[in-house]
Amino acid sequence: MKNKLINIKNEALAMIMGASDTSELERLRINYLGKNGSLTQIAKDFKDLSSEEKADIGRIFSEAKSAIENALDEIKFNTRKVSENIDQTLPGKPVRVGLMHPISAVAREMNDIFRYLGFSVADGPEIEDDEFNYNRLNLPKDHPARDLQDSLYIKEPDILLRTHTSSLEAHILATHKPPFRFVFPGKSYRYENVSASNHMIFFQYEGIAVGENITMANLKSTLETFIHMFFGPERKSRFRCKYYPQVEPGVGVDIDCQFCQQKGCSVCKNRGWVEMLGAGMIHPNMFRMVGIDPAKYSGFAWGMGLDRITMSRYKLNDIRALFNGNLEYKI
Amino acid sequence: MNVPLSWLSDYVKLPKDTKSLTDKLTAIGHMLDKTKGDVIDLELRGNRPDLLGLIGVAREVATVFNQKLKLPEIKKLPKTDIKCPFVKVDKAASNMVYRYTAFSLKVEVGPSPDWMIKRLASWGVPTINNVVDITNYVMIETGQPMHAFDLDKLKGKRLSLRPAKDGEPFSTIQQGQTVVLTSKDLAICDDEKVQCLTLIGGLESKVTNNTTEIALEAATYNQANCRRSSRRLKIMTDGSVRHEKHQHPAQVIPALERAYYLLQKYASAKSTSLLSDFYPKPLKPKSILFKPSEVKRLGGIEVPINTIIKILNSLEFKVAKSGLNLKITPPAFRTDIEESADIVEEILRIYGYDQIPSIPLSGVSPQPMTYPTFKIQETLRDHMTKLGFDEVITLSMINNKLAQQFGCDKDAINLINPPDPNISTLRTSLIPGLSEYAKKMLNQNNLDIKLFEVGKVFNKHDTKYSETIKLGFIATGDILYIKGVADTLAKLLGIININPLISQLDPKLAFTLNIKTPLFFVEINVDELLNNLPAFVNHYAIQSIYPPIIEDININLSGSYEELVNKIKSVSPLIKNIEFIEKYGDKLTLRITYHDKNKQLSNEDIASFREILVDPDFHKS
Ligand SMILES: [Zn+2]
Repeated sequence: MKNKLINIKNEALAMIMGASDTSELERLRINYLGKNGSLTQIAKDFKDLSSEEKADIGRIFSEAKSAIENALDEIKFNTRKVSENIDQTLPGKPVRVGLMHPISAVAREMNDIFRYLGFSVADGPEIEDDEFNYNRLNLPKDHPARDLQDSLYIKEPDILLRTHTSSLEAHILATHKPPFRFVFPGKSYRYENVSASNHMIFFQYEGIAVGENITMANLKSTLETFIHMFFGPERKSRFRCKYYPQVEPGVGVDIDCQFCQQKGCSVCKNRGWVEMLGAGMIHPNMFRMVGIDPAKYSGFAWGMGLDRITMSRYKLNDIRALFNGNLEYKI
Repeated sequence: MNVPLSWLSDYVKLPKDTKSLTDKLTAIGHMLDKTKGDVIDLELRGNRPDLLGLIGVAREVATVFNQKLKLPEIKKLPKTDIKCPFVKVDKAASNMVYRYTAFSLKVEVGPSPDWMIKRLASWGVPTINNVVDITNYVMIETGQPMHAFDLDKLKGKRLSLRPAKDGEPFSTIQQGQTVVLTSKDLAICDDEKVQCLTLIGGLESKVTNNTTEIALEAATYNQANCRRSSRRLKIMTDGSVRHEKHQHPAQVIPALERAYYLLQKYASAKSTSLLSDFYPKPLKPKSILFKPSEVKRLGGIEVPINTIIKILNSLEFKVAKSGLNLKITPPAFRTDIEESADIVEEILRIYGYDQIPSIPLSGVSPQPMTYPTFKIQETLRDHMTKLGFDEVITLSMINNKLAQQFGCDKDAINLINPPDPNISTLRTSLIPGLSEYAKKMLNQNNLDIKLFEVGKVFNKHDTKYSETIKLGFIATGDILYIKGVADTLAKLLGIININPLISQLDPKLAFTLNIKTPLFFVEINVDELLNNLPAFVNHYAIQSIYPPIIEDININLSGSYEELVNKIKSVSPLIKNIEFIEKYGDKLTLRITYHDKNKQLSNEDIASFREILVDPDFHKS
């Protein structure tokens, strides 16, 4: 009887799938579920079963019945006219989708732009030693710039969480032969008491291009293209001289202040310009440390605050909300 | 650095429009921080100690606006006494001080002239008396700190420099402040005790209205040592800020000469000793052989050779032709100039960064070589969002108690200096952080939770540290739902077994954490995943024109589901798919799809296989 039931169900489902119009569906309904239908007929034999068999068969019976009913309903729904009985001014049923974290979303936007400019994406360790976090970045022991970096130590004096993604620049220089172009978004750490504007975790986005005949003119074009593609073709930027130990000549790049149309406001400290990123030609010492000849090769590097840019892009004014569960995903 | 413009104009003619001045200074590397009336505040530049003096700023202004630098008047110092009787430096302190130059003068202490009091006030220094004011005034002019002692208060009327003794006390010139020194601090002493530090003068020997004779000194110390003293003693002064920078010892002399001139003019000073000049290793000027073609190679712009020479000369670099190259000797105060690339920057910043054209990178662009470790994270972000999960980022360091509760404290690495001592454990799993995050959302009444994170976890093995990329996801619902997510993820990645750790958040732990809704989570080692990742996955095929036969069977389950499925598949190659429908006791309902690519299957074709499957003892076979 069990097999018979399963066969009826399989046969019914196949017939329903193959039905060509509603009248055929109705015929099938009567054939299987009607008063004299095959399912209804078989149920009449249940009385002869033992109670144990009854339970087992009963379950298969009701499963077969609901499978047939469902199949009939589904087919019926599909053949029904769209406008029938549905108020289309009602909202659609919400569809749940997943969203990336805003930092990942911005990093991806940036990666796409730089891929178009011939860059690949790199990543690397978050636990660093003194050598890669400092020495290889032209920050020897006792360099004053080291004091600006309040490190989180794992083992003093030389194992720490990276204080900048520039440590990855040192790894890239050590492992790749020019020419190469990389960007690298990543997490960095510093000793910081957490507030709305500062966190011990922060994200940076850096890039590096090394080869022969790479110049500041290439740096300018690369970053201007990025600024126009990311912030908008109407945005203005300016390049000024700035000091960073990793580069020489050094460059600071500012972007026009949108809050005041460059008239001067508190956001831009009345400058009309907002500091955007630091850049420059890779310091010859950085090349020498990895055996790249600075007389033959040149290159540029830049770095910017990925979390700052993310916060201003999505108008999130509390850095803590990026990590603590106070972020709303609006889809 | 505060720059009072009326004071600055002593040394150089300024443009009428302050904005054109500050714009230009910003462009050449000295960004305007803010303007306060007559005073502009320029951001300090870490490698330019010369700009901590107004003359240094004036020199930059003169260069960019094509003006002459007017240096202030000076008076030649007394002759040097080669025996250096006035200054003795202990051998143990010889690494702490490079130059220490001093002499004594009779003075008449009194008030400073009004103009000087006003200027110091505009810069932010209160007046004390003419002698102290002049030392401050000259420091602001030249960037070189100096100090005057009341000579009569110095026992033995001489100075000796030595490392301080551990625990040695010192009363600073700031009334009442006593600090305790260590052997790492340089102490400047008379015959009895410490009278001065590198960063601040002493209370006892300060110049007062009763002072009649002073010792005047200017020095160059070990910058790093000064910096550490300043951090350790928590004292920061205008002098200490300058001593921390890489000042050239040659700067000592012009500063003393300027002070001598002013002391003579405004405090009737007369020298009473020769000059004691401790300067054991005088630095020689170094020159750099410079290829003018480097400007084009690094800058991407041609600057005419005459312009190059003119710019360098106006910055007081000496330039001599040496064949096709230039032999360039930077002035002593430019301690930042070490090599060719530094000179390129000098030329370009004055020539104007805005003159540099914008030229796209050329040549063959390097082969794309995005790291697989990055690519997989992006792939996982795509797949997980497709599966309806939101990405979150939680902190890499977690609450120590939480780590313990999750059993994540065993191989954990701890921070030595966490800002919050309760949050010092580096995570060994993403789950504690995700659970906390989910809890926060539950408390905000979000009852349908689907979250994932891709990130590093950290472990310690003996003395070795390691980091691993993990994917973690957490959801409400039930365990088969989250398993289904892991299964689909595996299919998307083309990996048969992604080896997920699937679990329900332990109810006891959930109770302790006050999480009332059941949470289910999965954690996957992404680095391992990477080893099994196929280069290519094909999710597509053409549907056969012959329809399949699909039928449900009931079957007993003994052993694992996976074993059963394999057993069923081995019955016939026509069995293309087995779908789980439901489970009741030990009985499973499975939906079997029979399919042949090449022909329409009939009932007879599969009858024999069906018979095998419906045999009540099939599962035992
Ligand atoms: Zn503004």
